[in-house]
Amino acid sequence: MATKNAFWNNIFKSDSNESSQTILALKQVPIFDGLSNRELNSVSKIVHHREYDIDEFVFQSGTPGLGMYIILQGEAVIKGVKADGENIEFSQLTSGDFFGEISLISEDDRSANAVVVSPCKLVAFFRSDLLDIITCSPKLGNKILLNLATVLGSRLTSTKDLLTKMDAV
Amino acid sequence: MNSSPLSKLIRNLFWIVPLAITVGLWEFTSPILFQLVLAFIGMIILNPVVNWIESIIQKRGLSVFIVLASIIIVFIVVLNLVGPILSRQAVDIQSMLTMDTFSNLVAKLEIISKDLLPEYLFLKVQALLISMDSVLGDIWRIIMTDIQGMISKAGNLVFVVSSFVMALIFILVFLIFLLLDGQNFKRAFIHAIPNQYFEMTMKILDKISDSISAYIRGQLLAALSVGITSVIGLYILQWITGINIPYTYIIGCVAGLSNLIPFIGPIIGMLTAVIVYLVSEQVVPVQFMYVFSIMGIFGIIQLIDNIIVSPIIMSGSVGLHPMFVIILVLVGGAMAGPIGMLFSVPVAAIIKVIVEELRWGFKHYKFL
Repeated sequence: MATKNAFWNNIFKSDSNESSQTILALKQVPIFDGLSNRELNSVSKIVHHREYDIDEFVFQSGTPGLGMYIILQGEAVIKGVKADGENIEFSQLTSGDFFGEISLISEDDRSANAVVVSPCKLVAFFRSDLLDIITCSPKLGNKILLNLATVLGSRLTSTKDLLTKMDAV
Repeated sequence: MNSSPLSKLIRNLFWIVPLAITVGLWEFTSPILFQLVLAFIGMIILNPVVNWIESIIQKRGLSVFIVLASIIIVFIVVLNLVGPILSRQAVDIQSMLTMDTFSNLVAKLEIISKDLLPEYLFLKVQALLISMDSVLGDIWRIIMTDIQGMISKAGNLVFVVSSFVMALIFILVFLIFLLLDGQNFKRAFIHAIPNQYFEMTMKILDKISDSISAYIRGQLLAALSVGITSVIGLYILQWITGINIPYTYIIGCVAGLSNLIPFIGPIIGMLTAVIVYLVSEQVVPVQFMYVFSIMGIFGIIQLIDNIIVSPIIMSGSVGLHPMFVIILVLVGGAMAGPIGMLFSVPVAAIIKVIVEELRWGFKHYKFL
């Protein structure tokens, strides 16, 4: 993988194989719940495919947030630094998992680092792609936005639960 | 990651090879590049309309077809209506540009200053006009040659039908591909960017394309609005005062196009109208009041542009200092004549946007 160039891969790639793999991955992500095969196919055409090596940063804390990533293959971790300077690992992610979805809504800077721990194939879906969908296919855009709101809502609830538990301790 | 020099070279061949071919065969590639730039500007203008139709009918190809078919029909209709008048006026103005017209202009300027100024000042102005006669004559000759050159070039472009139509067809083909597959070209480009710069490139490209699209769209709409309001304003003025300002459409085109140059552009449009008024046959005697009215009309046009049109289309200036604008116009003029003067500021504005966004990106992604 190391010497491959994504551009040449893009030219000589097997389209149908990559596309069906992407659609399968998209189906597992709650943000794309309830999308028809045709809609999933149109989303799969606008996402970006990336390949990362071990220890490569997918994104770094403090940089502008652009969008979310779905892991097709490999593993990554989300890391941050506590106020006292200690490193903290927020989550370990593997194929089928997704991260960075808040950036689809907010343009704020990333709050953590995403680092690859085993060679990864990722699918990137950016806010500009979502905006294009909202402009050209409002119905599909609304479905994705509603799913996104649901995911963010459930994240908020679980964070609240966690804080309540911590307070209790 | 393997990052040997050879690997890096192969990785970057996708842009090095086309760039080398473009530069190496510049003589042949420059017209195509020019057509591509025009097609790109066309895409920037039409993309929002195509997107809007696509959001209704859900088919990109059909949306592109509807938009382009409508544009072609409107283009043909407008060409048939305005084209003959415009070309007749262009030929008339070309034949009017003689040194006799210049003497006429100086004579009219004398009449106006006699009306306007006290006797002792008028005598001074008259003396000044006589002493500067040769200098003004030279300036007139240079401007005359430039304008005649431009008109004949535009004439050649229109009358050498085959090459014009061929260029138009190529621009149309490029435009269709850009409207249909523009996003895919961008994606293929981003695909080749190393992971380290991936997000930054994506962000910078988005910001640059947003800013440039807004700028070009805004400038063209503002130029169109100034052109149309100039024609309407001059017609109203002629109707009210009875003065004769011929070549109204040409003046409209000049005022619209020169509006691309901040600060100086509006004056160029106004001066053109004033000069055309002074050098043409008048039934109502030439008076300063009428010159003042023409200036007033252009003032109102600028007011409409600044207060109503520009805020609506959000074509805010890109913040070039007036002195810088003057330098740019002079450099553009020296490099490519009137065309250079016209496009030096927009090109500089676009370069400024690109540099600013690159700086923003490198800073925020911690490469600076």
